[in-house]
Amino acid sequence: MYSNLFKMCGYTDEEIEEQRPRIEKALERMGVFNEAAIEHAEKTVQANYDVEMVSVQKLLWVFMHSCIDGVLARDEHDYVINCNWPFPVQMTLAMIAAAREAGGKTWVGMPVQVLWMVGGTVFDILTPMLERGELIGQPVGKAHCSQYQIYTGAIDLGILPKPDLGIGSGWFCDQAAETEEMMSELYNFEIAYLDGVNDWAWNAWPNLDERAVKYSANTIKLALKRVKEITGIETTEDQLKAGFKYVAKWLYGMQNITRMIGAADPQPISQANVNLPYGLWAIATDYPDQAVDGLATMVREVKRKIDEGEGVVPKGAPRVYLALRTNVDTTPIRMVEELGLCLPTVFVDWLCPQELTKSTYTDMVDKIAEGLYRRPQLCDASAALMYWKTLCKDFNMDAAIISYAYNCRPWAVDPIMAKLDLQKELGIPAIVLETDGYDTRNYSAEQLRTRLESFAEVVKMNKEMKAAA
Amino acid sequence: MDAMERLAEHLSKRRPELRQIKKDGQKIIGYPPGGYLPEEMIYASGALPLCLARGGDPEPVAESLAYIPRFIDTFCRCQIGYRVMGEEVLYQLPDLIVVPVTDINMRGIADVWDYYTDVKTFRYGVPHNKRQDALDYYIGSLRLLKEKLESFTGITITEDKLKEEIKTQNRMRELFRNISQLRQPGKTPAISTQDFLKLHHASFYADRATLREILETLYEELKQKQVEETGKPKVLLTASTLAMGDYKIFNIMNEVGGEFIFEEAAEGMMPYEHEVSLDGDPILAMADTFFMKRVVPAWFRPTRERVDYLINKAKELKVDGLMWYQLLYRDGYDIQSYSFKKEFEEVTGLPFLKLESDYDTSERGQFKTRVETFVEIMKQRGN
Ligand code: SF4
Repeated sequence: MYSNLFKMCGYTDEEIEEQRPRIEKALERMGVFNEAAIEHAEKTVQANYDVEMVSVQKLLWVFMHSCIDGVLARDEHDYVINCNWPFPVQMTLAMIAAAREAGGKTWVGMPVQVLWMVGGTVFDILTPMLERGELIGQPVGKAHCSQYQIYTGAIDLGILPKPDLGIGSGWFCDQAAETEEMMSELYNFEIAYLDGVNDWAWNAWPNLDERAVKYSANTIKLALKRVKEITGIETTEDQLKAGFKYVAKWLYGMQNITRMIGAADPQPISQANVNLPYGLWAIATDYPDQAVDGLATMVREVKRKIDEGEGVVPKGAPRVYLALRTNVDTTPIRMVEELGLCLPTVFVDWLCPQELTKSTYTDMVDKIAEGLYRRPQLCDASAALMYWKTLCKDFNMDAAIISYAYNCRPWAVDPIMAKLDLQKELGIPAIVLETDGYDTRNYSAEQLRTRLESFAEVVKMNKEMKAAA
Repeated sequence: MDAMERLAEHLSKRRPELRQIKKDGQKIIGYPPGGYLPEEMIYASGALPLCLARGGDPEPVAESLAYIPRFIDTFCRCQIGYRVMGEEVLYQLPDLIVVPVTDINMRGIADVWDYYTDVKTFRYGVPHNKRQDALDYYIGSLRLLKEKLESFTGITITEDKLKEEIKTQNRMRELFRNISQLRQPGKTPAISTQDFLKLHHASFYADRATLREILETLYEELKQKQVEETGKPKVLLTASTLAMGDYKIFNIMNEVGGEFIFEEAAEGMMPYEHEVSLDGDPILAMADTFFMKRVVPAWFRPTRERVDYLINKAKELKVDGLMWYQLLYRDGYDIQSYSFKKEFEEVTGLPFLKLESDYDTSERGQFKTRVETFVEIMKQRGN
């Protein structure tokens, strides 16, 4: 029933056979162990990705495996530790390695990130989780984080196991930590919080205040200490270094893909496919080698398509920056491309020069904390504004679509400032678009199309006028 | 003229006075309400603190839409509205804005000041727990604030000067405590909670010496006031923000025959429950009062302290119910209200009412119906 789907996701026949009991248990728990759901999933995954690309299959394999592991974590392990987004991936990877070395009784992972990728872009089953989350302290219409609605819903519905320990994310956004706090009260599990103070002086980025970096770093250390106290698992410096190495490889691959697509004309592949390598950043996979292989394969495939002059939009199409990657549904990305606009880069895929300077910290955990805040959008509004301006200049953008997740408080402060900045300082048209990274119910494709269609015309007209001038 | 009338008269003249003070060259330091900024530090630097706490009006909310998306907490969002509309002189006065960043909504206030105005901000983060490292961070922030104020005003904040200011502020806090305590459980309060709140709001911009004198007199007047049992249901109020001008829920409660007898708010009140010790390093003493002793807002994690505080307060004051008042998109409050309601009702057996405002005029009717029902329930249970 599901062989075809799993093959699209990079599984071999032998592997499907070998994994059958696990696959079926996980599918059953997710409520998709039936013909109709599998048929729907086949259509969904094909609508979201170009599954004929080998890299897409390889990366989907990583997500599918990680998703099944997360769903079955309680069945297969004595102790479950969830690390929740936004979260330092290096830290999770190091903890995964430490847990494995300690005998594998403890499972460590970032299950909700995997669940939104697989549950959204493969099975399209997030709505019931979102609806359940809305009944649990995050009511509809109040701009609660849909990612955490999914998490709460998935646990309440028994799709994801209730963890024994959560490592909560409060270093950048409050909503994540506030929701976890509520969940810990309701479901009675402990949370060790990463904390942050978000007091960066305006325009100070990328010079980060050491005090704030160290404060966050210390909360990481305290969380690791708590893990050791409870489980006896100690995360070593070497394991943290290995986490860094993986992230470096990811960055290298991701930047290669970003640069190649950005420089190509016509745009060689749909940005929808780049959801997968981007998503690796959020999942701290237990399959790092396969992830890196998937990335390298995408680099090669993109290069080949460029060499052969393949394109998904017309050559010379206006170049537009799209500020949000809708992680659970690639429709908005494809819609922009279908309107004949080129998306050289999307969201925060690109690393700007300020992010690439070498860290002056020597302590691994300090480095992790600094690395988090080096990402402009994870720092403050002035950093994000700087990023957008630099990106639009660097990629020679003709316009910008400042789409933002309206229910994500930290990212809902600056979109209007960004629009003004880009219009005033770079003279390019920009629109602000309310959308959502994790809940497709929060935007209607039709409405989106209407706005994007008219904006596309403005952008094309602008470009023509510039060319004529 | 009684004390409250004198206060009203003073406040009616205060705005032009403040303009003159600014003209005369004294620095004015604006800050948003939240209780994490010790005013004594600003006074010690020779500057004048000015808490920017206006709220409750729909127009600045509408105005703010051109500057910041609507998904930020209503109070924080509308602050830029008060500045750009130009109708509120208090928002035109600050030379510097100090923002203790408690959550992203508060950070939003700092961002709009920095982006849309020529007034710069000085920010310091308030950690979300009370561990030693968090306290150390807060202490460090106060030291940086001291340095910033010194460089901004050119005046050195000596320990003696700071202690002198702490002493004055302690007396103010004491007066607020004394007045608050006249709202005895089981008795009609000598001063209504709305008037008590207005005293806090007055403290945000009144001349301190004048206010102190008025509070001293007021306390004496209130002590003489006859308090008697009126049988009105007594309500404990907890709120994310009780802004200056946002008195809708107080008016409604009055109209429907209930009574707030105590309030706890993350924003909108001068921290008055605890004094600052005059022993040792004043910065450590201020951190102890403003950070460690302060009841945590809903965005803290863990937040148990706040839950226990409210439940204990409800028991101690023998209230008949609790009203949870929050502003739209203040996620911490909305999320916590879910688990809190369950626990509060279970433990105390008292009714709980949650109201959420976007400072919209049309909310009034709906609010009134809900408060009426709430009061009715409390009355029935009392019989
Ligand atoms: S989407 Fe926004 S609100 Fe949700 S966890 Fe991420 S940063 Fe926080």
